[in-house]
Amino acid sequence: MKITARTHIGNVRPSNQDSFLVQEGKYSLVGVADGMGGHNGGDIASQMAVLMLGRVLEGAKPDEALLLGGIEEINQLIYQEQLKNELLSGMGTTLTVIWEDDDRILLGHVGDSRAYRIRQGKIEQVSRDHSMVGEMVRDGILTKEQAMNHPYRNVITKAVGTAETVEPDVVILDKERGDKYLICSDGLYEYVTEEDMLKLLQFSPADHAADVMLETALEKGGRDNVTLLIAEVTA
Amino acid sequence: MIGKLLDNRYELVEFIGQGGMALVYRAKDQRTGHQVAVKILRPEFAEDEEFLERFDREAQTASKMSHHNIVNLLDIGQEGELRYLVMEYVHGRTLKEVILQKGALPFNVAAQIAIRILSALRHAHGNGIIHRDIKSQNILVNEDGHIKVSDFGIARVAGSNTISKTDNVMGSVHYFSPEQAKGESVTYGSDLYSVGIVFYEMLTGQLPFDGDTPVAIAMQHIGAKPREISDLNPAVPPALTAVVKRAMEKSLDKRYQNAVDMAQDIKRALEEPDGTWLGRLPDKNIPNSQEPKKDATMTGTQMNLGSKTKKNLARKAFLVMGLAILSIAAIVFGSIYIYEQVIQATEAPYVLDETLESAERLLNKAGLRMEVKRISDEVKPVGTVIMQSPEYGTAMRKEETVLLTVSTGPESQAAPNIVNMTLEEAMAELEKTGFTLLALPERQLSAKPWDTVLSQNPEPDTMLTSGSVIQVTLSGGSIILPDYIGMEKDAALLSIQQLQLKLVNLIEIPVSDASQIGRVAAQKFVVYDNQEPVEYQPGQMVMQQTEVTLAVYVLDNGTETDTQTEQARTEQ
Repeated sequence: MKITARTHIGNVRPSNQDSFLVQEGKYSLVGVADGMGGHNGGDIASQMAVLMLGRVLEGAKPDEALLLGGIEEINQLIYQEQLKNELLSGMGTTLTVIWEDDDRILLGHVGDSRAYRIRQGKIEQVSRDHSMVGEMVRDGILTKEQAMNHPYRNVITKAVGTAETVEPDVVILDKERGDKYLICSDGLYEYVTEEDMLKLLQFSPADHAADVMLETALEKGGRDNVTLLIAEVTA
Repeated sequence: MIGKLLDNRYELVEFIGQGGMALVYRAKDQRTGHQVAVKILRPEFAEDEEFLERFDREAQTASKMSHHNIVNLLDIGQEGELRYLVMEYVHGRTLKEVILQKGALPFNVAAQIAIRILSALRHAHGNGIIHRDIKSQNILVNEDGHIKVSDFGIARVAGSNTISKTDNVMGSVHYFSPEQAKGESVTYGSDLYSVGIVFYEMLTGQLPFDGDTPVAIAMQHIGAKPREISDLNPAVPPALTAVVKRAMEKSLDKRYQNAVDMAQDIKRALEEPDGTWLGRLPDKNIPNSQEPKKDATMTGTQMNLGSKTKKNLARKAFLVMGLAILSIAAIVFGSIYIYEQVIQATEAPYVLDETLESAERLLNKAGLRMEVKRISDEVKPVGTVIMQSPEYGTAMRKEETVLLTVSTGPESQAAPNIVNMTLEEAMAELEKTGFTLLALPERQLSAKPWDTVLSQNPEPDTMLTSGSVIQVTLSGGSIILPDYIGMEKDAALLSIQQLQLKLVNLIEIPVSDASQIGRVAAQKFVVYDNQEPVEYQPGQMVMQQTEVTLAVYVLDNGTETDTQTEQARTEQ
C-alpha cells in the first residue's frame, strides 16, 4: 500500500487530539484516532491507541480475531490509565484502522472517524459511525442532511478507553488493486463532501488530493482537528 | 483553588460540582457577604476561540434576564486566564433528586412547580432566549420550596466529541423534543415540550420515554405514545392530564404556543379538574374573558381586573401562592417547616424607581434581603431600581431575597473634552469617565509643551458607549536645532539634554591635532516621518526628542590605523 497522511490542529482548538498510525510493510496497518475529553487526556488517548495497536499487531499476519482482541486490549490499557490518573479521567478516542492482508483488507473501527473506499469511480463509506446521529440515520429516523446539522452530531456511542469493555466493528473487505481508502476524523468530513472526496481521489495524485482536502476543511471553518490518511492498494 | 480570591471579591469556599464546561464552586462575595456560586470555565477551553465567543455571547444573553424563578447571573469576570460566571447560590436539591426520593408528587404541588418553571420561561422567551435543555436535573428546589431554573443560556460544548454514556447527554435526551431529536431548529415550543416531560415525571414519578441508548429514547420522542398518566397515578385530574398531553404533542402546531397559555391552562385545570372546559380548546383568552367568575377560587393570573377588587384578590392570590410554596416545601422537606413559615410570611414591597437606599429601607421593613444587579439604562438615573423580582405583592418569607436591577446610567455618554490637558491629566480624566486612551498617540510639532493634547478623536461631546477608545494627538513641542560643530563635547551634551533631543550615537574620530580634541566634528539630526528618516539642519524647527548623532574628535594614540568608532547610547 502507498500511504499519504495529513494532520492539522485546525483553526480554533488549542491542541491536536488526533493521531494517525502508519505501519508499512508486507501487512500494512494504517489508521486514524480522534481523542476526546480530559484536560490533556484527548491527545494522550489517541496517541496511546495508535502506538499500542501498532505494537500489539506488529509483524503478525492479519486476522480478524487478532484485530478485535488488539482493540479490546488497548481499550483496557487506556481505561486503566484513566482510572489511575485523575487528570486523565474521561479520556477516550475513536479508532479506525485498516490492515492489509494478501487478498483482503480488514477494517477495525470504534467511534465516528470514517473509512471510505474509492473503487471504479464510486465512493463508499465502509465504516459505520458509532454516533447517535449515525445510528438514527441507519434507523431511518434522520436523513443524512439532517444528521449533518444535528446539534448532537458530536455525541458518539462507542469509544476506546471510556469503559471497561468495548465492542469494535471488524469488517472483512475484498482487496482490489487500484482501490483507494480514505480514513479521516470528523474534522474532515464535516466540511468536505463525498463528491469532492471522490473527484479528488479519482483524478489527482494522493499528495495533491490530501492537500486540497485539508485546505478545504480549514477554509470552510476548521473548527476541529483535521486528520486524513489515503491508502492506495498497489499489490 | 479553595481559598482563592477572584477579582478581590469572590472567595472560593467549596468545590460543589463540575459540568462539561465548568467547575463550580461555592464562594463568598466579600462585598456583600452573600454566598454565590462561581462557575469557572475549564482551562482547556480558555484558548478555544470559538468556545470563548459563545461563552461571552451567551453570558451576555443571560445577563439580560432577572427573575425569581431563574438562577440569576450576577457577574461575569476574568482573572488572568480564568473566566468565570457568578450565579446565585441555591441551597437545595434538584427536582430530579426530589422525584427519585419521593416518587410521584401530589398533583397540586407538581402543578405549582410547573407554573413556576413556565413563569421563568415566559421571562426568558420574552427576552428571546430559548433554554434548550429543560430537565428535572436543571430545576432547583431550595429549602423554602422556591423553584429556580438553572443553566439558562450557558454555552454548551459543541464541536468536540462526547461519549453518549455521560449522564449529561442521557439526561438531556430524556427531555428533548421531537424536533430536537431530528436536529431541526429549536423554538420556544421545544422548551414547552420539555416542561411537559418534567410535568409528566412529577405526576407519575417516572419518565414517559426511556431506553438503554439515546437513540432508543430519541425514537420514542419522535414516534411513541407514552403510558397514560391516569394508569400510573389515578389521582391526577383529567384536566391536568390533558394539559400535559397537549404540551407533549409531537407536532409543534398542536402544542402550546407560549408559556403563558400553558400556565393558564394548568391553573384552570386546578379550578375545574373535570376538564369539561377542555373541549373548548384552544381557548387562550381566559384572563380576558368577559365574565370573571365570582364564586370560583381566584388565582394569581386573574389579578388584572378592576383596581377595586385588586386588594381582595391579591390577598386571596397571596394565600393560594403562599400555600403552594408551603406545600412544595412540605413535600420536599417535611411538614415541620410549615408553622414557622406562616409566621414568617411577608410580601414584596413596591420599590421600582426608588433609589437603592430607600429600596433597601423598604425591604428591611418587610423583613427581606436584597441582591443587586446593575445594568446600564438610558433613562433611569444612576442608582435607581429598574426591575424587581419577585414582583411587588408576591408572597414571600422573611429573610428571603428580592433581586433588584439597578441602573448604572446611560450606556452611552458624551466624550469628555481633554484638549489642552497634559497626557497625565487626560488619562486620569478618561479613566474617571470610563473611556480608554489609544495606546500609541501621534505627535505634532507645536508651540505647546511636550505631551499636551492637541486634538482628540472622536471630538468632545460625541456620544460614545462606555469603554470606547479615544485617540489623541499630542504635542511634540518645538525647538530650533542648534549648530554644535566646533562646540566642546560637554557643552553640546548639556544643550542636547536641555532641548530634550535624543542622543542616539556618539562617534569618536581619532585625530592627532590636539587643538581639536573634545570638539564636535560632525552632527546629524533625524526626524522620522512615517518611519522614513528625514535629515534636518541647524536653524530648522523640529519636535523634541529628535534624534541626534554627534561625532567628536579624540586623541589618536597611534596604535590603530583604522578609524575607530564607538557607539554609545545615552539614557534619556
